[in-house]
Amino acid sequence: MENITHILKGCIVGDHKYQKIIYEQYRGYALKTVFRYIYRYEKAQDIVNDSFVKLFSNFSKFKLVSEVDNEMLFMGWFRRILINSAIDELRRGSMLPEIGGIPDSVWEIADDNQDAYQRLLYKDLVILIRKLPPAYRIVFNLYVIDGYSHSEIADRINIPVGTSKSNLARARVYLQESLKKMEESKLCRI
Amino acid sequence: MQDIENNMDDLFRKAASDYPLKTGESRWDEIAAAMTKVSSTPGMKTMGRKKYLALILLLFFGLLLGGIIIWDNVIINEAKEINEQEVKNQAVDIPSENNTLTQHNNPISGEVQKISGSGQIKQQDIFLKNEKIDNKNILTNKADGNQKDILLVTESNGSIISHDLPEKIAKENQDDRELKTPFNENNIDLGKNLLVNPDVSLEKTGEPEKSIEEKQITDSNKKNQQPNSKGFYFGIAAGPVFSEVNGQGLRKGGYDGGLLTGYQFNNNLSVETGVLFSKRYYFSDGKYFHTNKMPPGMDVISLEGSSSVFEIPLKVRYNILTHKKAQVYTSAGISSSILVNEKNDYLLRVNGSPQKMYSNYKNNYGYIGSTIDISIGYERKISRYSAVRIEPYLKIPLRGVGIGTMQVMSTGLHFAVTRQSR
Repeated sequence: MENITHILKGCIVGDHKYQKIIYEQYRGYALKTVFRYIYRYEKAQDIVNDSFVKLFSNFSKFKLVSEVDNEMLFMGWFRRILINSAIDELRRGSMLPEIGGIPDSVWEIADDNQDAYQRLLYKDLVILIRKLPPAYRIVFNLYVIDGYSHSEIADRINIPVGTSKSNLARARVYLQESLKKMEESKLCRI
Repeated sequence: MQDIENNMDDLFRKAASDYPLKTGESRWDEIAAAMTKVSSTPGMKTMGRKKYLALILLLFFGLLLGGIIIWDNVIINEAKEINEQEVKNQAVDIPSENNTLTQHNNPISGEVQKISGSGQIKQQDIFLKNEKIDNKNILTNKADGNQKDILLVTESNGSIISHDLPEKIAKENQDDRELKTPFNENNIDLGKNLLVNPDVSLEKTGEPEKSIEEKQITDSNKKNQQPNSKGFYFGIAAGPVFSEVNGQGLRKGGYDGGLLTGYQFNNNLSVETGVLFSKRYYFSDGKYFHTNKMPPGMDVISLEGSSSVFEIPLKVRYNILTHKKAQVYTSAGISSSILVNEKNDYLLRVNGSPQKMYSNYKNNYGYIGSTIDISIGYERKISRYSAVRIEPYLKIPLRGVGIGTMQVMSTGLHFAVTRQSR
C-alpha cells in the first residue's frame, strides 16, 4: 500500500490510478456512512458513487498539511461530502418516512468468532437508527455519530436550533425504548 | 441520565463504525465514465464564471453610462426644439411696400435678432441690435457687411423720437401703444408684429444694460466655468475588494456594489453616504480567530472563508484639484456594517486530532463604526449633471467582526456613475 500522502497527491493532479485506489479503499466506509441516512441500499450506493465523483472533481482544492494529518483531513472532508449528499437526497424526498424492510442480502455474514456477536449487535443498533423518522434520523446521525453541533445542524438542514434539540431528544427516547424491547426479547428467548 | 445518554451515544458510535454491511461489487467504471463527462464539460465553477460576471458588470455600466448621456442629450435637444419653436412662433412677416422682412428671435440663447428679407433688401440677412444710449433705445440694423443704419430711436417711456421704418408700421406702433408691451421690456411693436429681445432688458435700477453681444460673451464665459453644483446627487458604484486579516496578505478578490447619495455644499465640499453590498474573501491563522463563540474543545489551526456584508458609509469629500470638467478629491469617513452571512472552512484540532470543518453562519450581526474609510478619487463630468469617477480606497478596521471577531482590513477600487439632481 502506497503512502497515503502520495496517493492524495496523485488524486490532486487527477491521476485515475490513484483515484481508483482511493475508491477501492474507502467505498466501504462511504457506504456505511451514507447507509445510516438513506433507507434504500441501492439508493445509498448511487449516492456513494455521486459523492466520489464530487470528491475527485474537487480534489484540486484539497490542501496537504503533514504526513500525519493528511488522511484524517481527507476523511473529514470526504465524510462531509457524503453526509451533504445524503441529506440533500433526503430533502429531495421531502423527509417522508420510508416503507419496506431491509433485505438480509445487504448484511455481511458474521463469522463465527468472538466479534461476531458484537457485530450483530452493531447491525441491530444501526437498524434501530435507520428506523427513526427521517427528521430524527438526520439529527441523531449528525449530532451523535458525526459530531455536528446543534447550530451547525440547524444551518445545514434549515431548521431552528430548538427543533434540532427536540428531535434529538425524541430520537433518544425512541432508541432507548427500542433498546429496552430488544433486551427484553433476548431475555425472553433465554 | 446524562451518563446513560453518553453510554448510549458511545455504543451507537461504535456500532456506526463497525456494523457489518456488504460493500457490493466495485462500480469504478461508472465513476470513471462520470469523471470523463465532468472534465469535458466546461463548468461554471471556473475562471470563466468570474469573467462572465465581469463582462456583465461592464456591459451594465456601459449601458447605464450611455443611457445617461443619451438622456442628457435628449433633454438638451428638447430644449433646443422648444427654443426653435418659440422662434418660429415669433417669426412674423413685416409687410412693407417694397420688401417683406421676416424676423427670427431666440429669446433663450440671446442671439441677435435676425431679419431676412427680400425685395429691395434682396435676400440679405439683416441683424437688429437694440442699444440703450443716454436713456434712449436705439434700434439699428447691422448687415453682414457691418453696415449700420439707425432704424428706430425711442425714449425710455416708449415714445418714438425718430424712425426709419415704413411709415404705416410706425403709425400703428404709435397708435396701439397701450396695447403693446412697453419698451422697458425691449419689445418694439410693429403693429401686430413684435420684435422680442428679452435678453436686452432695461432695468429700472439705472445700470447700463448690456448689449446682446455683451450678454452673449458673458453667457459663454459662464458656460466655461464649473456650474454651481450645490445640491443632492445620487449614483451607483461597484468594484473589486481585497481583504486581509491582521496583515496576513491578500489571496482571493471579492466585489462590492451599491447605491450612493450625497449633498454638495459647494464646488469643493460634499457629504456622502449610501448602501453597498460586499462579498469578501479572507484567510487567517487560527491565532487571530477568537474561539469564544465556537464549541468547547475546538482549536482553530487556520481558516479560509468569505462574508457577505451590507455597508453603510458616511464620509466627507473634499476636492483638492478642480478643473472645468474634472476634479481630484479625497474623502474620509466611517462605515457601519451588517454581516448577513459568513462561511468558514476550518482546519481544527479536536481532542488532539486535526479535522476539517465547514460552517455557514446566517445570523445578521450589526457593527456600528466598523471601519475608517479613506480614499482618493478622480471624477470627470460626462454631461452637465452626470459624472463618472474612479476611487481607490482603504478600510481600516476599528473592531473585530464575525464569528471569530477578526480584524479585517479591505482595499479596493470603486467605479461610480453619479448624477446631480436639478
